[in-house]
Amino acid sequence: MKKHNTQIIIIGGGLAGLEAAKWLVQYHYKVVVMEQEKIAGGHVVNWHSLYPGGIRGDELINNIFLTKDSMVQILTNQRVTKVEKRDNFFWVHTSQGERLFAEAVLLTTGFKLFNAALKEELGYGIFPNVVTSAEVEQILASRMKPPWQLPPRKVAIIHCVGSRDMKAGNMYCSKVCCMAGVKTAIHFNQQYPMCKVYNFYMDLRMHGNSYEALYLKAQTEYGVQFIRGRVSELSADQYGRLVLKSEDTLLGKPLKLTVDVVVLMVGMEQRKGLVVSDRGKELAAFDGQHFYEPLNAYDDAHKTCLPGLFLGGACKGPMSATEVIVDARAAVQVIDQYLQNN
Amino acid sequence: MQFDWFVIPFVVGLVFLIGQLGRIYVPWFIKLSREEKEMIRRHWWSRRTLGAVKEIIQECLLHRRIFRINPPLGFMHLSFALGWFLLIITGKLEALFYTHDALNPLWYPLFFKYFEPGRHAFFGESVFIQLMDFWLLVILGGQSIAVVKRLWPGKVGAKKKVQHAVYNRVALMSLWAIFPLRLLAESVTVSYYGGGGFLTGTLGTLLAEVPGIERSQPVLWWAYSIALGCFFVAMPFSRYMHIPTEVLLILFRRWGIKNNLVAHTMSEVELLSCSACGMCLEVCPLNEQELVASQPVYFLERLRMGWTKPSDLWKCLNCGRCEAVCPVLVKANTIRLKEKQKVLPAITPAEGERVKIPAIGQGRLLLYSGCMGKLVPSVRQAMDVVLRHAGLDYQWLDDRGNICCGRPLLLSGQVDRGMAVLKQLENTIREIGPDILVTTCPICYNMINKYAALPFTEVLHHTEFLAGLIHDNRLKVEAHKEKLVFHDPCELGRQSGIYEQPREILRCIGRLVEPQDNKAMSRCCGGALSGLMVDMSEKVALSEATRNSLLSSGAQKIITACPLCRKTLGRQANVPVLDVAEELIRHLSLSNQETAKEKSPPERAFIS
Amino acid sequence: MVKFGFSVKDNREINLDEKEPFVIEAGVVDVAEVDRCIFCGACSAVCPQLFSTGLSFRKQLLSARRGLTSELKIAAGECLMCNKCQLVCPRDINIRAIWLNLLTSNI
Repeated sequence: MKKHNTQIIIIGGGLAGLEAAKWLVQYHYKVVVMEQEKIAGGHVVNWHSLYPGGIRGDELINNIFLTKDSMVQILTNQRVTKVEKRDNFFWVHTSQGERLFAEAVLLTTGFKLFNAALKEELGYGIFPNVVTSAEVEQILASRMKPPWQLPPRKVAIIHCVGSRDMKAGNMYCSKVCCMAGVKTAIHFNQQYPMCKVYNFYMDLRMHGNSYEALYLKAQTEYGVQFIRGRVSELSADQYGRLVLKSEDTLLGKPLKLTVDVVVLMVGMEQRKGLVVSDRGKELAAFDGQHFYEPLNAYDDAHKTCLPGLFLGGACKGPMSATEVIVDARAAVQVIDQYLQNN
Repeated sequence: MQFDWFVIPFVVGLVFLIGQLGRIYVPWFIKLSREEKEMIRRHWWSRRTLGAVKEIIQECLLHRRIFRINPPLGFMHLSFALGWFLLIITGKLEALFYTHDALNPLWYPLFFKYFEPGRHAFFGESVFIQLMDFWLLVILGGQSIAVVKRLWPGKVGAKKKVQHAVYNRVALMSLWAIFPLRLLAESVTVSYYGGGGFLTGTLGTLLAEVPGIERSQPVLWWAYSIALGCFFVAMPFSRYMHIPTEVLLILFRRWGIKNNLVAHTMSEVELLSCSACGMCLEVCPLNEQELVASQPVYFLERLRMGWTKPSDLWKCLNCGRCEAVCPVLVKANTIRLKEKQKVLPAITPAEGERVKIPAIGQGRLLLYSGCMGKLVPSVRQAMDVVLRHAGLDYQWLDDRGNICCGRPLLLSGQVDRGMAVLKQLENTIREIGPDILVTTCPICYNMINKYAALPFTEVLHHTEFLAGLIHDNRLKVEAHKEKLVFHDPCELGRQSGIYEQPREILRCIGRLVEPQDNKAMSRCCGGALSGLMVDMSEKVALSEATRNSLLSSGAQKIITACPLCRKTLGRQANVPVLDVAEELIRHLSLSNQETAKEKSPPERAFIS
Repeated sequence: MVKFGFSVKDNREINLDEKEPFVIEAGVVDVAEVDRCIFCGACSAVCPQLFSTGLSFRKQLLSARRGLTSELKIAAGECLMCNKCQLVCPRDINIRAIWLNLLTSNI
């Protein structure tokens, strides 16, 4: 079979990359996954739980691994610096100076988290008890030591940090933080039963029936308070507790709240540092300033302006884990179709 | 009586000019406040007047300040001013020596060559003739630079060309016509009667070859007189009003009259003293980006004609770079602020006092971070660390609520309301009664320092305070090898004159490097409080230019001392942008760590 | 008088059939960006006046959008022009310029 010799390189060994690899192997292609970290699994592997069902992140990744085929080759500690299109094939360059041949390339580079220190008024990096959503996931999953010694009694979860914000340079909604905020509120309550959680949001975007149900659960079972208002000032009192200032925009009144822990729901950003070139010419569409744009958002949602180069997962824009899986599988179909026709 | 009809345009123009000067200047003297009049009375017969005369010679004739910034332009101004001045004086003397009568008609020295052609062998005649030609040559030399500057500004080191309004061009054209016409008229007369100097004589000899040249003589003298007349008529309405007004300005200034928010006359005097030289155009950060034409040269020009636009008033960063280079030292920002005030309807301060800030006990040392300080909690945190390290007891004024210093209101043009807010803050500070008030915001510092009456409190900016602590050895610091560059905030540097204290601190903790534009010429970060109409893309462009300028010094970190600068510069920076205090805490030496521990606040406790 | 057990007030509904959404026009300064507001409340949260005078740009703008302009001018007079709101506004609205405009307009 010709298929076995056809090499596909997947750049990024996160959820999307692994899921795509798993299915491409089912189609009898030779697949290489390039991962820059020590282990594959991406952000998801550190996640305490994934909404809506609450599966652990590492568990989900393991599920994919269990079905892995010997044909999947995962190269870790490999940072790809450049994807170079030649006539009908690609050269994929790594930071170690190696060059790999591929007939099709799938970009599943995912996202990077917004650097919360840039919103300095929210005190990240200044007050130890201000943590990001990513850190909270690790803390709740016992992968990281929490900065607090005593169980927190009051927690504020601030949505939209680095999303929908011209000042942060990100004019889009990061999509997952609304749900993740609700989920985190529930988990804080589960882990610290005496804890009272306040969610500060701009809009709560609960698209999906099970999402709404989770929101309801947070309200009724865990007594999570939802306050519509953007927090933009944070200071510490003399005991080191954090004082938030906000407007309760539904009441039109000023609001002050003193809490032990502040969680910043950080948004998603495109990664930088990957160069895509077509016959020596660098393509501006891949400069990392914005999420990668496919040919269109409908029936060519995985193709790029460069035939043979495909997109999958959150490198196209913020996506939840469930959407990433669906998207990665769909990408597999498109790649297969392309290689069959060539 | 020497007379010819062609002197009429000149005389009419001159009389008109004198009448206009009277119309403009007399109300100024009337509108001087009582204190200002008293000041003039006290100082006019004193050494200050002598100083003024010296300055008038240096600035109005020699144009020393322009010379220092741009020698070719300085020469241009010098040759016009000094050349013309000496031409008038020499001409007057020449006529005096010839007639032995000081009361010759007004126009007589000007058209001397016409009335007394040829040689007359009076005492010193040949010296006068050569001297007059020399001065004319000086003026023509300056004029050629002026022409070059108009056509190719880059050739004389001017980056931007001033786009003058129509009436100014009329005045300019008549000014440019005066001296070539004089040269021609004199030369033609000389060609017929002889008796010219090295310039008119030579040209006259050449022109004598042209057949029928003598018939053009009356035409040229008429043209010369008309050019003079035109210039005098245009002058009161054009930028050339600076010629007489600058003399008055220097006198007033030496006599102690200041241009401030209440001064009436002085603003007008400064307004008309602007020569529209365009120095401000070169340094305005908004102009570097080609964003807007609100620089003093344009703003004042429009103001003279009553054509100010909103962008003139609110699209300005109030950074003060223009004031720093102005050869006439016009306080454009003050004038601008007053104009804002005039445009806004009389806004009376709202009824009722602001909520009283609960007293926070007596304290010798009071800290104030201001509104902006709340947006950069790290600066406050750093100050806490430093002051604990130094073992000082202190309190934060803004612990119980947020009070504004009123400067933003003032800068927006609502001066009275701004002052009312300041009064409120002043009362609060007085109630607490600290010995020292330290602000971490140069905007508040500038406002409190300038306008608040706090006789028993020393107001310091935190860089001054920290520099003092280091100097007194109450704060021990260690130097690292990092290259640090200091960004002078406009409100701290140019407007409050604090340049050295922050640099002293940086010298103690690292290697201080300087960018090309520093201290008085430092650039605005782009976020200036007064830039009400400057939009985001412009701010981003400004802060990028500033950041690049700072980093051209090879610095690894940008240090500043203003929460607003820190926030604006830091937004998209690829190097750390920190406050002086934030950088300082990385360099505190461990030797007095013990005391720091003792003073640290109680252990973190959670809400129960 | 009939006793309901509660007091009856005037009709309190916002009648958009009668009221036109208030449009903030350029006055002393140009403001074109009002329409960008997403009513998140970040501006009021940092406002030094919110706690003492209740000044809220978000609330006033929303009211104006519904044709309720009675408090606009009073609110405009409460602004301290400190510009903190613009610094935190996710849509970068030049809020104090709008207040300055309202202050000088005849509404």
